[in-house]
Amino acid sequence: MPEPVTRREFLSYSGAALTGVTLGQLGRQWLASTTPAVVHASGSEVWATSVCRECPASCGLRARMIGGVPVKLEGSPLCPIGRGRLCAKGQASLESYFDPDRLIGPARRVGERGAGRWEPIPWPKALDLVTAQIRESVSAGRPGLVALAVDEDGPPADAWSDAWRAIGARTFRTPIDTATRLRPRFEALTGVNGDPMFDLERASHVLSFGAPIVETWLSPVWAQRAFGRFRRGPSRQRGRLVQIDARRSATARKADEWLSVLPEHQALLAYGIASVLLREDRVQRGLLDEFGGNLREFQRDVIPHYTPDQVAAATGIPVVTILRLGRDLADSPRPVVVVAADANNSLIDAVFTLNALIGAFDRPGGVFVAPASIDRRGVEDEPLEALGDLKPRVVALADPSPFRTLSASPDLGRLLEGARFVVSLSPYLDETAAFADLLLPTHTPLESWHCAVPAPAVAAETRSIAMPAVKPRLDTADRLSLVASIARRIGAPEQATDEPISTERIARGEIDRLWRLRRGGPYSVVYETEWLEQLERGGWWAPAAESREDFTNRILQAGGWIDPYFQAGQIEQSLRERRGLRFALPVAIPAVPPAKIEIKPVDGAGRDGFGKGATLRLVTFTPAVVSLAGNPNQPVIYELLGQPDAAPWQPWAELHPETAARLGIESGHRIRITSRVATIEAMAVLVEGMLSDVVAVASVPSVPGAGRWARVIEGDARSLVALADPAGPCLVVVARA
Amino acid sequence: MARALLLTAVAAISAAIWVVLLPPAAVDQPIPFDHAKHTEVTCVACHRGAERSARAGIPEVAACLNCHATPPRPVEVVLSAGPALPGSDGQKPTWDELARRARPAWVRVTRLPDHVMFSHRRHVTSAKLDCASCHGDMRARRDALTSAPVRLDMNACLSCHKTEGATEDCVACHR
Amino acid sequence: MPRWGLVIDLDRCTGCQACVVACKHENNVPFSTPAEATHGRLLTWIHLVPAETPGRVGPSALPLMCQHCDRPPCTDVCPTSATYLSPEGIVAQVYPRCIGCRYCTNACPYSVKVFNWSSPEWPGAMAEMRNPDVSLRPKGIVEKCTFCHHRLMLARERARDEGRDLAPDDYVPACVQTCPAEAMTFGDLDDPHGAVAALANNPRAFRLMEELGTKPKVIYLREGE
Repeated sequence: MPEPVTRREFLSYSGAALTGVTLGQLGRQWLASTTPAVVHASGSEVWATSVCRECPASCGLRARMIGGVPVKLEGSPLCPIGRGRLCAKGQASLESYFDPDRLIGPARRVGERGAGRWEPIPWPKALDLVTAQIRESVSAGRPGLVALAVDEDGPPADAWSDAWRAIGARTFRTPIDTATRLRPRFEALTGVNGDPMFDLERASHVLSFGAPIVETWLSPVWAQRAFGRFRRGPSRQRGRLVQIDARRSATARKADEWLSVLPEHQALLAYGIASVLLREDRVQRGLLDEFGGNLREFQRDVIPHYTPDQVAAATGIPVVTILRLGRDLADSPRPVVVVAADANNSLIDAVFTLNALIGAFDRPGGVFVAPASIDRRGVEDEPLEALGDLKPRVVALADPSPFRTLSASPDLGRLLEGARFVVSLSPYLDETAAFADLLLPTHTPLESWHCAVPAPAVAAETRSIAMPAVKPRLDTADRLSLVASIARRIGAPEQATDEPISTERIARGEIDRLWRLRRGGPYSVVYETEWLEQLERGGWWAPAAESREDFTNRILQAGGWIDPYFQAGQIEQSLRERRGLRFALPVAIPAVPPAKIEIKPVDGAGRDGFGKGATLRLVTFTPAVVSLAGNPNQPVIYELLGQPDAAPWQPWAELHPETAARLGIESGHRIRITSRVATIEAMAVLVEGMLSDVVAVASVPSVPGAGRWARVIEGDARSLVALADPAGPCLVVVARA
Repeated sequence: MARALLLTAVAAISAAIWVVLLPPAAVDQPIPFDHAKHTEVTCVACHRGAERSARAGIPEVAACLNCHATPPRPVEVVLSAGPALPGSDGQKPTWDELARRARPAWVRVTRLPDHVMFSHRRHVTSAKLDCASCHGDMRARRDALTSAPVRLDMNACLSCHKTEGATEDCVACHR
Repeated sequence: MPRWGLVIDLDRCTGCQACVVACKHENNVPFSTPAEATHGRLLTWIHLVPAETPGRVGPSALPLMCQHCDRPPCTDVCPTSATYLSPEGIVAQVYPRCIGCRYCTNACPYSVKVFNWSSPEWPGAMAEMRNPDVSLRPKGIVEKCTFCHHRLMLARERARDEGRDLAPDDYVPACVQTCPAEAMTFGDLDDPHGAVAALANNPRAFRLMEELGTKPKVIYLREGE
């Protein structure tokens, strides 16, 4: 017989069971609280059309929307620039829309400038503030008001400038690195007032003077696609690439041959090659015989002054190499010479001269004139350099591009500190906010209307036009509407009666204009675009829509308008009208070769006085993944930095292995770079084949007052050159940190 | 010592039984929707995503407009008790407006773990599976669901996949 | 049954990393912090590695992801059968089965199976940008490239709805779709008329660490002449 359960035992076991149940209930509650309420966006999948605004290429986008929320960006297959492809920057721009540190509404500065303390204010009050300041500055006389920089081209960008000028402002624009920057020198040689266009895809041999072909060149996604086909196209020989570049850029890495030459010496090398072509009579006679112009004079200047010996002495490139570069170029069936958009004038002159000598004008795989670039309204804004010693009272900033463009040298910080009132019209906390007194947040690209003229690259006239893909997530405004309401408050004459301008109105107006042109059609797949071209070539045009409304809808659905009709032979036509080429006569080669800096290690240049240091030339460059106008606060972009050599989330500096060895620096070490004005630290990367007296530093925007990711980046190469003497080379001391 | 262990074991076992075996707690739904009253329409008439996408979805109130010319009683009671809609200026909104703008906070009760990728379209449109096989017979329910009517586990999925010859590859569902 | 494979033409690849971003956004791969990155805990399913090619200017950037071996060394060592070779040749990782022992990360000669050291977190509204077709992996397990297997499932579903067979363009991973230089080609290696099978027989074709006998289904085309 079992033992009877005692009272004590009964109580103990029931107590234990009760404790267990209580714990179990607590556990259930805990489990329920850890199960997230809504894990994912739900709802049906929709694709919305938009335009990428990370660079002036203005590629068409498709946003994958789940339940009204964008979850992924892809290139639009209808867009002739990207044809469904999209670069890293374009994809990453999705993170700008969701940026947790985005401005949630208009804000006014409290406390010191740049301290990053803000208080929210309502829109009408914000507009009153800026209006009062502008009134005061206008009454104080010009140059009271300055509006800076929109990093895009197209009717809304022009409307921005017009609206500001209507209330007495001077407008400046950041030089954007598109083919339009090459236009003045191209016109000087050929007389064509149009944008040059390089037919990379069909070229057999490309000689590139610093052109970042696979990075940020002209229209990056187009350039990448063209490069891929240039290398390995169907039924063609592999294209050969020779890169002249100060550092081992991504393009240099892809090249079949890379020659390290400083930017200021590249024009010498180009003329040296021209001299080889002329001396050995390897030039293409066709165009030159007919439209030689001042070729004879040019020949007389160049042949004796730019002998391979002299060029070799000045640039450090061996004579045999210079001879071979010239011969390879002339022997290839379809060679072309290309150049970076921000190159100096003499280099651009030299590059177009070479193209004339090798007969690349109006030839497949050569240089053409971009369609419709001839009669387009030119940019009436002043270049950033013209800011000079201006002391404006009020400054309006549209985007951070003036701060990021390394070739734009004026000291913006000083200009803005001197201004009485700075207003930023950017969606993000970026460099513009560091100086601003008032933040008027604008829509991010996915929330905006678009009507952009894409950077000239494809052989067609294009507009990238789209309506907002999503509703504004936060209390932001359309940039143009903001300027319009400011102008209305000031009482600008033409603004008073008219319907208020907005990007939507400008975009719809542009679509109406395109409808009346009776040519072209909506962005379409390759086959349909080619068919349209065939029709137009035969003098036919089939309207894409029955009514203007229908046409508008189709354009907005497709994300743009294209007229694929393209006529080659523009250069020859211009030469015929103008009686020949006008070669720029190069300045005489410097008699004494520029001294290479002797590397003399000195002790005690590192942190705390330890370590060896040496004086080197500074070359700064912007990594391809860093946007020149967009939000700095995109974590995925920082993870891409320095790949595959350096570490993510930080800038890096490239050194010649021998130089590094003399300074006791190894790959991966942290080094200190000290210029006259600043010191930064970076990670060392050793690069075989670099110039031994050069340190190349990646410029990654570090923005202290910005979002959570942008503010942790340390070591901004821009600070090294901000006040540097623009004439001479910038010298820095490099040592191990 | 043995006694202490025994007591702990009793506590642990009762806790485990409480967590695992008890059915999930009932939740409150915003509108007491009567499924049995709506048997004249098919399931997908309201749960439209079932045939077209991975998620069947809980219908918007706007879907009611297809049949209801005036707000059904329970809907009106719930919606008019809620906070005033923005922009309505305190005026009583019309049924049409109300239905389009209302966002009742429905609670999903039939849910799979996050790592199970179930597609309604695949099972409803391609495999022609009856809704009742996973959701039970809703035609008899006189309420909106307050807890999952059928316990879904991997054995249920797999037994059907085996008999129907559907894929048994793990990553088809788990990724 | 198809046998999925990927060909990457290194002569076309420019190392632009568009594929890296596409993969991260498509597959809900969380981003890192600088501290995590310095500890080598950066989470990527595809990343660039330097690869020496004789006669080239410098090491080329080679996009490296799971090679989807036909004889995967990682599956043999898995104690829970969380990783296995699927019938269509995709090396699968079943996250709820994975216990994070990291045997497979050590067995993989390509180091492309990554252990996640932190919970998947996106601050604020960023959580909304996650792809609902891909699960979130809890902290402490091993994750990897799946050839965007969810895209295959969706493509099959769509094709069946439309009453047709799967077309070659229906299913491409996110990296292939975005590649601006058109360097990546994806498809069925067993389809004799397919582009992938043709490229796999190209004289420039090679597989990484072929000598180990892993038989990868990611095929690279050598850079240079």
